[in-house]
Amino acid sequence: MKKALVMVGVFALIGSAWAFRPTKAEELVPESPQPLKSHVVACVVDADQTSRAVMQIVPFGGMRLIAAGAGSTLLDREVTDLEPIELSSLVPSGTGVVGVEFSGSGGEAAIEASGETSLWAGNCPPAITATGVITAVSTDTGESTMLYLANPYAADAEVAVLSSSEQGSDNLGALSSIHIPARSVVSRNISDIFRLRKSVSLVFETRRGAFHALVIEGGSGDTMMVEARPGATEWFVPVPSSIPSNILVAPSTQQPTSVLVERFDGEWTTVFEEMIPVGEHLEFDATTKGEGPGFLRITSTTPVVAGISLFGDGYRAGGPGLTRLGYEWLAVGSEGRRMTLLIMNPNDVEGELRVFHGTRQITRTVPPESMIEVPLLWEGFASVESSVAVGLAWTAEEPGLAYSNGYTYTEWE
Amino acid sequence: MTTETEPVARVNRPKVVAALLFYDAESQASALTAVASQVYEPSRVVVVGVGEDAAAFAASKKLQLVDSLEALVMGLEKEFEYVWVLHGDAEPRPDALQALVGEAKRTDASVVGSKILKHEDPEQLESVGAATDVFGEPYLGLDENEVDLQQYDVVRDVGFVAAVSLLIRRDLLRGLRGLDRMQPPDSAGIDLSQRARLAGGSVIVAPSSEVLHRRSCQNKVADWREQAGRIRSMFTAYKAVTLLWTVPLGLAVALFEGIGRLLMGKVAPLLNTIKAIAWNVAVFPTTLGARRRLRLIRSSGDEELFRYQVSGSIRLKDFFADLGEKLGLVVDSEPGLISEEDLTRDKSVAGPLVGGIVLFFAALMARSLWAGGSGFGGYMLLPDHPGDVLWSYAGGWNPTGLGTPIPPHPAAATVALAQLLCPFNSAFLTILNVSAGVLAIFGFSRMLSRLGAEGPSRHVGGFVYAVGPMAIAIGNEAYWPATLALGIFPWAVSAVLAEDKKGGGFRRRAGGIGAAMLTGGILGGLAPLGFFALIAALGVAAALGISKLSSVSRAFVATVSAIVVAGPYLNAVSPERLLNGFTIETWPQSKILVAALLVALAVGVVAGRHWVIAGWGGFLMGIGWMLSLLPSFGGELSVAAVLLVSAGMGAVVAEAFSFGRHGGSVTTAVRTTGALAVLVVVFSALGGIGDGRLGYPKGEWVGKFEFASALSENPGRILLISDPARIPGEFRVGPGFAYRLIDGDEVNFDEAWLYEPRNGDVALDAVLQNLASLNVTRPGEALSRFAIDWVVVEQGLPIDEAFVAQFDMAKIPLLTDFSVYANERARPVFDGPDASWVRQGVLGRGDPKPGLVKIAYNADDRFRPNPGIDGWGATVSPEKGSVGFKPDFARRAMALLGFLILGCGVGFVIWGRKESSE
Repeated sequence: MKKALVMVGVFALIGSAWAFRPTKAEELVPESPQPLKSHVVACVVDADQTSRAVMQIVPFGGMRLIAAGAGSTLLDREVTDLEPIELSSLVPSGTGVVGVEFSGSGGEAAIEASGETSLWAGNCPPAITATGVITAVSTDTGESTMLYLANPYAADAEVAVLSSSEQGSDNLGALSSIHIPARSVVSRNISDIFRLRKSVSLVFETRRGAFHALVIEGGSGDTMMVEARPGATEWFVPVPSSIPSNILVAPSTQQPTSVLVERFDGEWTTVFEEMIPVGEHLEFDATTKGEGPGFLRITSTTPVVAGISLFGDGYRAGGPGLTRLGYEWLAVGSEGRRMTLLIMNPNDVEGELRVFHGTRQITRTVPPESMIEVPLLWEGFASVESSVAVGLAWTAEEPGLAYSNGYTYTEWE
Repeated sequence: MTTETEPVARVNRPKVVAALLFYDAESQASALTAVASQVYEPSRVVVVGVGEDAAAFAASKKLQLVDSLEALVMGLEKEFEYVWVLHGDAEPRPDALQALVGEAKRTDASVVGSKILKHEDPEQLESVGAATDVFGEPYLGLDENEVDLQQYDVVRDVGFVAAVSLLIRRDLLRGLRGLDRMQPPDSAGIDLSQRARLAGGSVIVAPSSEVLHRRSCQNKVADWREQAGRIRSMFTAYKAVTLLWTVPLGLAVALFEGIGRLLMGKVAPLLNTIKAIAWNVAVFPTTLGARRRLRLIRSSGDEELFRYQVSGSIRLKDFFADLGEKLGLVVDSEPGLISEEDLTRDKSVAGPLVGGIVLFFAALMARSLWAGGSGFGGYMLLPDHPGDVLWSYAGGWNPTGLGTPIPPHPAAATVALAQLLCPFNSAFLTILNVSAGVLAIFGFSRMLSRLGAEGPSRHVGGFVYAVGPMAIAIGNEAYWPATLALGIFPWAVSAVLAEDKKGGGFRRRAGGIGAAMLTGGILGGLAPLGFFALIAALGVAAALGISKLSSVSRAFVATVSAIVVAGPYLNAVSPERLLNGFTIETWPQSKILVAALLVALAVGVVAGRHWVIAGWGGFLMGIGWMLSLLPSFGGELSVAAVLLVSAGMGAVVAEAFSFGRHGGSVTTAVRTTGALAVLVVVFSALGGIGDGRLGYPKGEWVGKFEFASALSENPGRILLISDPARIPGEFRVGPGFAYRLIDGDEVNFDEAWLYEPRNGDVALDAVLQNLASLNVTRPGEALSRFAIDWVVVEQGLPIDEAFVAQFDMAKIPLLTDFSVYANERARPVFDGPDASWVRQGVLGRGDPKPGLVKIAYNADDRFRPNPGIDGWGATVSPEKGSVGFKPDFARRAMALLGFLILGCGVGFVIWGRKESSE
């Protein structure tokens, strides 16, 4: 009897436990961090090739200026005023990296440099941690076209560079693996590596670390700077009305991509749709696709970088297009240049613009699906407020030509 | 029985002094009478001894008293040629001395020993000179109770003669400085004979000299002391080159024999070996002194000793002889069957054989852990400074993570205490793991015996208990304290269930209480809620009528001891902390295994020799599984549940495999079903035999962070960011990763547990959240206040991207699967006014100067002097040149009480055992 009771008791206990046994505990599910938002922009200064260069910073929070020569320790100081910074004081000789670290907010730093016959400008690019592209440069001028890879960070970086030109893909051993030591700049004269290419695109595939990449195409005449940008599937390229220009579209991945090019100059026109094979890029003359001021919208099935190259008798300029639209824009630079703001409106409604320039304010209207040009005598940076989301680039002239994008701090979503 | 001995001429008779070694007055008087009746009268009789009894005896007989042979021989006139060393419990026949002197003169021997006969039966031989093996083990060459038929009456060289009666040249004895006073009687004779031979003397036995021996000299000598003395003799006599191979070989032989005897049900040999080793470690400096003294007079090499030694090991021969005898017992019985009687007899060979097989497979399954060569899951690396761990446990500051006043886990303190007490630090892990495994297997068998079970199936139950499904579940969770707790739990139950034998006196009862204190205390020290399992196991046993109420007092003592030893921790942590942090799964993963256990339970209850024990096991499994249904199940409660389930499984398997009843209602089919169910359970455990880790992860963290100490004299902290499955010990969770701080260059056992987050932990979490958003470009600066020198990130985790574009943490290629970043902004844990401030143990010191010492510990108002707060961190004034911490006195008192309980437990057990041995 006792045995039976014990058996009933034991099996009832175990049966109850089995019936209500806990399910397996949930495992920790990793949450993905937010997408990369770099707060560091950096440019390269080659003191031996630049007679005067200044950096203008557009701040919205705390800033620290960073600078490093090859292998040197990092200069690291707080920036408290917004006066243009003479870069010769930071990089008195040789090649160095100069950048700005923005903490807790966005910001932009642009560089403007000039020589006796040259003028160039550009935004300091963000870090590349995966892939990036420089497009719309050339090596057919017979002058130097320098690729600068700047690594102001604490860890070494390594990158593979793939190139393409009108002659197709160039897989060159010299660029297949470039080691960029921490806090230093590595340069390559790509004119020596592949000569007489009318249009060149460089695709950067990061093996480790992070770096900033730009090309300075110089010579006896004008100089231009083009910075690397990460790929995107939608680009806007403002096209000045009076300057011959080429558009280059380079994929940032090793995949074929289909590209649709549309022009907005008061009317919306589909220019063409074309497939870019692996290892090649697409180049076309922007000015033959329409007359007067206008802008192009380039969309693709895989990420690409679209840029513009401006050229003429004794001058050249260029840079990547825009990937963002915004309501408030800043254009940085230095005083004493004749310059033009290129303000594009891809919306189907008119935009009311207020341009603040020095002590003056200009009110303009930008029609739907069109671009206007606003000439100014440069007096430091200018800001633009718009009733609709617009895009902004600018050119500066005499001597030489510079082309650069603006910086928006209230983005259109 | 005497033989005619040629009288020594009275002319030029050598003068002899008789040295009577004093043991007790009664025997001594008889010895003195026998000496007085010698036909060859000694010129002087001296009593050698210490204490009041010896002094009183010498005074009453008007004899000279010296405290040692050395003192005697140093003051002895040169006219004395020989010293007759005679035990005070010996009675020499009248011509004994004459025979000794005669043979000494005739053979020119240096040491001449007598034939020793048993006083209670003078027909029986005790010793006629003897040999030893190379380990100093005596080989008498006599059968038990062998009668003296003069079969050994030949004067011959021997390995040693008993110190009961021996004649030795005065000058030799002076050179040897007498008997080794630290040697017990038997090994003293071996030691003296060996030293005499190495000094160039010869050692012979003169059987014509007969001495009756009472052996009261051994009354106050513990069993292990003779073994200890023999080890000391080896160290004294052998040259270094001989010791190089004899010591490790001797140790291996002793341990093998000890474990073998343990399997045969005898605990004492293994314990004696351990005691003998410990004693020799303690007295080693004096052994070196004895060795130096011998070197002064040494004239022969070790080969002189080898000539008189037998080959092989006497201990092993005896062991195998005993084993063979037991085998013979079974072989001689009914062919092919083990009879019921054999099963119930402790001397049955089946028990040792099954035990041996079980131990072999258990060792195979846990070989990587038992080897102790690598840690696993971060839980196996011992504290660098066990004393600091004990200080922290006793109300001090606990530096784990960013520091806390909560004491370390009791298991950390228990292991640290054992580490301090263990003389072999390098082998400590192996000793601990092997001990836990062996204790678990045989402790479980012993527990089942206390519950009334018998037969070899107990060992199979022990196997399932120690290395079965629950042991593997513990390994999967890498919770090492639970593995150790498996080792002590059955002993705690046994200590409570031990029966008071009839006639057991107070000391024996105290011994039982001491065992309950000791085992209960250790259980609490390893598993703070282990007392739940203890109470449940005992409660079910009482409810089923298989334990008596007489054990209530011991159950109470064991439970209180467990609670008190874990007291500082239980007092400090919240219930949530006790029930969280980890969970050991109590349900087997396989439904087939559960079904097999249920079948085994049914067969055990129906057909087991003691069905009630199977029922007991079933209830324990059920209670353990029911506990897992509690909403707050986890942490220490899961350890208690695992102890219950594991014990339940073991008991069920043991009874299902016991084949208790023949014929009748229990059919062969039922028994076969039970055996198959047991095989399923056993083979489910054997599945983990592959890597020999019992489910524990590989010890990938051993030595992984040594770069920290190699590259920095005072390594601060390492921030380890990894997948939760790989991270050693407990961890905190960030967005998409787990992380923890590591103090110094390795994850020590005492660091395994993390405690409730304090302000610093919250601040660090915020920094890591920010870092994970990839918005931080100065991670080194952000982490410097936490004294983090290094960040180690598992490659492939998204947060590794946060260290790509940043300015102050240099990536160093040190590890293959982890990115290592050195903090260029690193600051020390004790950031004082100058560089003199460094960490020392848990706290810090430096030059006394004005200013502030910022401490990368969570702020606490018990830091001294002048505690303050800097953000989340602590600050003190540097003016005293050191940082102090005011302890929590309540926890300190509890910790001291816990240590006292363990100490008293040991003391009572030894005291109680002595009475039983007497």
